[in-house]
Amino acid sequence: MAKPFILFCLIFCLPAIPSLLLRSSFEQENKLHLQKQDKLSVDVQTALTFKNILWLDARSKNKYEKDHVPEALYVSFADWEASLAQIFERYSDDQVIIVYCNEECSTSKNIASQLRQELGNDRIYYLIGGFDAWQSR
Amino acid sequence: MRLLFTLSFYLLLTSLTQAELKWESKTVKKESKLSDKVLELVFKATNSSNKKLVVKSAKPSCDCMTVASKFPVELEPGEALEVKVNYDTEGKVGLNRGRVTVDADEKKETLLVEVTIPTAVTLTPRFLIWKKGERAEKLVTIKVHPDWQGSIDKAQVKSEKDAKEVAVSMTQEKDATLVKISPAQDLAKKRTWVIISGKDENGKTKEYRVYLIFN
Repeated sequence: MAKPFILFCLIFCLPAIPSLLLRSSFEQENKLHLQKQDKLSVDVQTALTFKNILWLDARSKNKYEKDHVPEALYVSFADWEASLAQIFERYSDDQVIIVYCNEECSTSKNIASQLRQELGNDRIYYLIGGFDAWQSR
Repeated sequence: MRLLFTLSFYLLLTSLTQAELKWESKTVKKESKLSDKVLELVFKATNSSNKKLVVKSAKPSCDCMTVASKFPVELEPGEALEVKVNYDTEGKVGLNRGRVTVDADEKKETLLVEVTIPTAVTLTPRFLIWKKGERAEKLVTIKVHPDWQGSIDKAQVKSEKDAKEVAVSMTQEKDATLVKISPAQDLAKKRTWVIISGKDENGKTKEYRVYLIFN
């Protein structure tokens, strides 16, 4: 009774194992690539421990207008001068700046990196997991 | 023994008959030029099996990409496939990543796009902060991309009133333009900016601001 069952499992499950392993390792690598924790990133739990945060929303204007972190400013490389002008209005020395976008986008990381250079401030981060992570905190 | 034989035979049989795409590379990296509004990236694959394969779709992970190739596509054994992806560089700078998911015979493959987009003009830093009582001269470095056809012409404080309080000068060095900014007096709790102006590639006036904060 057990023999046909083992044979059945081997026939139908074994061929799928190599492709499943390859796929999951590629996806894992991809995810790590996009979400690798570095000095520029911060997770939502750590972000919530900061006292004075200036949130910057780097998603599309439509998504920002639908919903965003309270008091977050909309920023975009497409209109970088206007983005900087807005940041200047609200900027203070004791602030931590956190940029977010969607879960897997690179824009928040690029903006955080650019702002660190341009503001000469290393208390600027991008949020791991983006707006979704903030919503499900 | 009989089980082992059956298993080996089945594995051999499935490896011979399973339709599969063999990709030249699952990651394509490209650097755009300043003039590129859209960057084309191509993923190449071959049907490595001896069976016909149907590639149903290829879907990008963001609005910044569109797939130019038409799907579904039927591939004979050994036939090549090209997935052309257009990446919209508008409003983007630096390294940008995205994914394209290809659905072939119910098997989904994830392809990775890496695009590096240059900046035409870089001003560093954009915010200058003076501590209380500090009157030091501070520098802004302006670097332009070698392919950029615009110009940086002058730097001045936003108003005549502020020009009496903040001195601004601009000098051209070998690899960069330097703007020197220094307060002429103690300027506690003041905020203003320096306007750096020039022409863009189309001859239109372009302004950049460097923000000054006196604590």
